[in-house]
Amino acid sequence: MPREIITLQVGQCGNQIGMEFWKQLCLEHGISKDGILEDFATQGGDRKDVFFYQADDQHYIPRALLIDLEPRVINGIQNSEYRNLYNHENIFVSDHGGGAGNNWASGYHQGKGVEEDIMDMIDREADGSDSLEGFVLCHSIAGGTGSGMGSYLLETLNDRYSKKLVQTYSVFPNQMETSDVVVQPYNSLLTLKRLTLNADCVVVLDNTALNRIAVERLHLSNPTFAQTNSLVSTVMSASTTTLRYPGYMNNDLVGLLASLIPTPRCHFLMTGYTPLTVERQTKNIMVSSYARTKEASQAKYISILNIIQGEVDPTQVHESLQRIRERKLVNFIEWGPASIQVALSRKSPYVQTAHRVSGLMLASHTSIRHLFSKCLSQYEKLRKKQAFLDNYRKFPMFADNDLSEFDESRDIIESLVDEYKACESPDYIKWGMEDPEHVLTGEGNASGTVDPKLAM
Amino acid sequence: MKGHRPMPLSTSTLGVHAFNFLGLGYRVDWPLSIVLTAGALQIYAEIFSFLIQVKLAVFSLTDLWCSLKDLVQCVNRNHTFEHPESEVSHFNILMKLRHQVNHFVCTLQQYVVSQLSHVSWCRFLHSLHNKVKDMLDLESLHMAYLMDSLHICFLSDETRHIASKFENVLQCALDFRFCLTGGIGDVGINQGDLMAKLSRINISQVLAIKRTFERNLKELHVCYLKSPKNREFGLSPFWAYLKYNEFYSDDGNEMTYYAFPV
Repeated sequence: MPREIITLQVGQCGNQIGMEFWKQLCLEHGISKDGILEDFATQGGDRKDVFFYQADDQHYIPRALLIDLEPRVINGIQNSEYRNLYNHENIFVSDHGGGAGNNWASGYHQGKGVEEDIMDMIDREADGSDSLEGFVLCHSIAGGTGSGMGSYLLETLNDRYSKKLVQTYSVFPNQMETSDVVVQPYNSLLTLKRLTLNADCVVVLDNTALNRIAVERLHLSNPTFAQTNSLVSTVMSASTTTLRYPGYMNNDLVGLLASLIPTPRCHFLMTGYTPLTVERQTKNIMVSSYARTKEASQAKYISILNIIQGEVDPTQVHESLQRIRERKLVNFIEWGPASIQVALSRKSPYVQTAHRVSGLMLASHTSIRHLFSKCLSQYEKLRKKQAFLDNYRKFPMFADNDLSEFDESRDIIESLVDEYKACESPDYIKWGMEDPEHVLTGEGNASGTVDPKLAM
Repeated sequence: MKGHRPMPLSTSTLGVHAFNFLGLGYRVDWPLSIVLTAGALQIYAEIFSFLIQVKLAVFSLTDLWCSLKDLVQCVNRNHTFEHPESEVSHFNILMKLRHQVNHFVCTLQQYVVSQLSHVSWCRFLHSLHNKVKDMLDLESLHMAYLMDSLHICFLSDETRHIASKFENVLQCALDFRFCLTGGIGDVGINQGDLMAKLSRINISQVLAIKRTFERNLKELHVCYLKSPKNREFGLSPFWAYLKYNEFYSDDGNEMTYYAFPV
């Protein structure tokens, strides 16, 4: 019985990274551009049905919905070599094709307008699965469609499929350079609220970091979208390997998330990926923490999972882990037990890579709060000037100059930042255990640095 | 193994041995039976049922995670809603305890998998290439591999006294099912429901699990201190997996918890 996952790719960025993801999955499972199983793909052991369904014995179709409010990217996909891969009934482009004009409110409002059409598509996909585990949303948080319509979809999925998991791969805007989307801070903030409240797990794909990796590590002086997108698809496919090549552990999404996310509110994950040499592997992965400023050095890991693919000697992994433990190379939270989990996973026999071993780190790290703080301060700057708010007032949510949605979102992100900050202290959530008697009499005290409401 | 969520768990008491009716057995014909003897098959079956027990514990902890997560989402979306501190603290205790037990069980799973299916298996394959001259060598090497495996799973004679403590912890994981009484399955977003759900945390059950868990952890810690260090399998490497941070520190002979007094 597979635990199926339905992928929703929304907006320009979502569809671009989604397309790269499916390319990679096809390669790894030996599926051709038309969805036909290749003749050489005879080795079993992989589980294609988590992400694909079968039209017939040889024909695989992605469990994917391609959604956009403007036709450019989706047309591109439909004119590419992969045009026959997708189920055409699963493609949604709005009739007017005018996009959302980089306006979250427009995307959200249009999402509401086409809710029925899209939910029909989702329901059909869900009906087609035996044991649906959940949804994956690919989008960017800065523009209009992925952020606004993506937000609307998150809320709707939460209502309609409350028992299913919702994971997102969310691209955060590049904060080093001035964006062509001036209202990006507004869009980001409003989307972050939904990612906090309506998603079970958010894999943060930070465009700033992606660019830095491309420039500093891969020596690409001017990385293109295609290049950074391929980095994203590598991360996405690597983080799903344990689902697609199942072993005894981590073979379903809920199991992965339940150990990576001990406290439900802190569900934002960072990733690190290294095509590495065998000698230096585990250590290499760990270096990716942002210990740059003094404040950042207070940052702590809440949890770590390393997925290592390829031919690796398990005893070497052990030795590396032991070294990490003995030299205390990783700064973990103090309020609970923590460890580095390692999943040794199979690698696709059909893809030749230059490196024998590759590793992906999924981690919950408190330094993620600096990213949110940055979003907040950019928002405050814009909001102070009352800049560009008219574009939002045109839509029902902000009609009559009601800007409370902004304020509420800001409050929620602020409390999220506080929560991550509190996580760095050993007192994070005192749990009312100073006096167990109190607990028994129902007068527990949830003191500590966190507001009891936040502590949840 | 056919273990997949969702499990049809009944509401009656569920012990770690609940799935013992499920066995692993093969009928092996000569000449394979020279190597895969009845004794060897028995060991495979024992390890199989141990792995099922661990899996069962993981399922239970994962189920609880889903329930707690739903609860948090309800609370977050109704953030104007005031709820009594005591209930929040009950929730927090449950969440933290789940994390601790989950950490233990996941560590156990991780340790068992890496030792069993990577380290000892690789060594077995290696010795197959280098040490086997005849059928009898093969039989004895295979048996030695199985003995190692039993030892890894704390099922050997030498480790019996530890096995029961592990079993108790696994039982703790299963008992979490009784911590949220009532239909956690019907998540509504209405405030009354939410209130009901929060107050449905059975705190005396939670505290009972906490006591059992801590007692067994303490006893295991004592065993660990007495156990020979630098052994490849057994309590010592497992314990090393358990403590990456200083949460479980062993000052003197007494294990202490940080910020979680007993």
